[in-house]
Amino acid sequence: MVVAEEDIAKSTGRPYVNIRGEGFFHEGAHQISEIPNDMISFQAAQRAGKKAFTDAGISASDLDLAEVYAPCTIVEVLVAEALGLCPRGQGAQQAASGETALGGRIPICTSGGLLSRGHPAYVTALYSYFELLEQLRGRGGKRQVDQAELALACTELGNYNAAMVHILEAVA
Amino acid sequence: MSLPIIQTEGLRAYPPRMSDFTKSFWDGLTSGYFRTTCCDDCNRPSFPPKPFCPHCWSNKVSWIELTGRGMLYSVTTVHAGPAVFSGDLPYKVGIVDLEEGIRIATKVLDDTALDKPVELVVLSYEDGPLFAARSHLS
Ligand SMILES: [Zn+2]
Repeated sequence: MVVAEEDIAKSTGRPYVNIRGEGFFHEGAHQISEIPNDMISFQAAQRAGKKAFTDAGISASDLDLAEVYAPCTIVEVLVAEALGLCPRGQGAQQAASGETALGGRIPICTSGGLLSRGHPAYVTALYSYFELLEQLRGRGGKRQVDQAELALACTELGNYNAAMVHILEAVA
Repeated sequence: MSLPIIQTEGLRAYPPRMSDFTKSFWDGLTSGYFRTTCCDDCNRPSFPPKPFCPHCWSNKVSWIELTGRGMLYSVTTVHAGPAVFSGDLPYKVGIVDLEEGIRIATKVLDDTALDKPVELVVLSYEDGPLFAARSHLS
């Protein structure tokens, strides 16, 4: 994976995608914050997501797909809610009903995610970005999301004490 | 206010590391006191005790005594644990919000329901103390 200015990427003649927005937030604690907070609201993901959406000038409903860092089932549900991909309290129900599956309203983790694709700590997040690159360049094969133009990647550390969000965009 | 002290047989399975700085905490716990540090500048407590204030970065902190009372925020039962705790299986660990506005992780001794009052107790092992939470009927 190579990060470069767009004119350099273009000059290679190879397919690329654009980074349209980014956001980062760290709540200043690791794992359990000593200051009581709502541990299932994933405040860092909320705030990093908001920054990224503002930076990109889009909202969650504009996205075609997302790859989120979710090493446990419940984490995908909670981070989907924190990022506004699903309304709070409905993440699990919407996943079960197929809204977050391939072909659904907002496919989440077409790569299989950390639980199915795998979770080689420290490089896990790169696999998520790679999946979005493949999707936005139309190279997703059987996993391809129709007309994928805008995608979100979210990674984290601790118990989502920090989150980094990028909005990636296909090149027309 | 001192914590109930429960005499417990045997040795601690995984004795906590004690530093020169945290010795005051463990010594206090041995005597039934749950102490931590509080900032002299912004007056906010912090746990675990530390020689600086994570809220305003002051280096001026003093030891204070906490009540050891709080509410159970979350709890889970560990059925498959690290080998060193195999003798305790199954055991409960939880998250407690203390009255002083500090959230801690701790072993939980009973079936306290979420959002119900708990108190910290000292488990006085033969080689030193640990702390744990149990339900508290006020
Ligand atoms: Zn302070």
